[in-house]
Amino acid sequence: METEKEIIDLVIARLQNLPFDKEISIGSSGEFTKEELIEHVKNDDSIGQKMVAIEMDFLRSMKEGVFYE
Amino acid sequence: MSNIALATIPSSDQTTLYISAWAENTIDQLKSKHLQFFALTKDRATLSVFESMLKKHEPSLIFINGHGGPDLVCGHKDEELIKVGRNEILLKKTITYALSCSSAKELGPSAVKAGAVAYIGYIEDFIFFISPDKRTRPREDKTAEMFLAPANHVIVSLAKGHTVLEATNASKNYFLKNIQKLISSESSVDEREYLRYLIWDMRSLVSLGDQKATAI
Repeated sequence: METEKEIIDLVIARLQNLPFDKEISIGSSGEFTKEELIEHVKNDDSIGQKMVAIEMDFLRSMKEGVFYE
Repeated sequence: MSNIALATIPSSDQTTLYISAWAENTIDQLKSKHLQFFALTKDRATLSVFESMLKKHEPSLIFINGHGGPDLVCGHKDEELIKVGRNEILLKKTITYALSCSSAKELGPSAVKAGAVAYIGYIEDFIFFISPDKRTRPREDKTAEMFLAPANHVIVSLAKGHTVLEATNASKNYFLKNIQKLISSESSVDEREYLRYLIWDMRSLVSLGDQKATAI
């Protein structure tokens, strides 16, 4: 449970670093500002869970050294 | 092999407007090459027109742009174009590239099983960033370009006669080049935040079916 909260906090911290003047397009779900994404993560809905999945995939890819393939 | 390509290019919301603008740009650049492209834009990107063009021209390459899901891809105003269990046989004898969310998860394997030569697509949502001030001029959006240029490179590579595997790898290498640019000192701190999303798209791109097949 604690780990889950830590992951959510990490994802929110990363999203806060997104540029303020851009939007993210997530297929048919639409476009979102960073503030909207953070709300979705806090609400733990499908968009929020997607953001968590992307962060977890990113951490895995760093471990695998994908940058230097 | 027909050396004919058919593209669906709907634009009924912001996301499809962007991917369509970049798809048209890509097709424009390929017009003088070996493939003849037929583009079904906006309200022509419907199932009835798509079926009729397939019958008439028997394209060897299909380039689908639009919303999608694990078991389907859509046309204009999200009309279902191809869906598992309904009409994936339409892709028989073709190489298809779908710039569409998640369709390589179920539709891709099902299309190959139904006789498609190959299916290239994404197993997860295709994600990209846009600059809202470029909404009316998507082709000038450098932020979107970081994502959409590598994604469209699959078609560029197939149109040059590269194999399914080569085209998929060329696109992945393009994503990787953009990723490496972002981690270099050339990029701003803001831009580096796009890294995780470029990696997501790159890792989500897969090719199914005959990896040695070519479209021309």
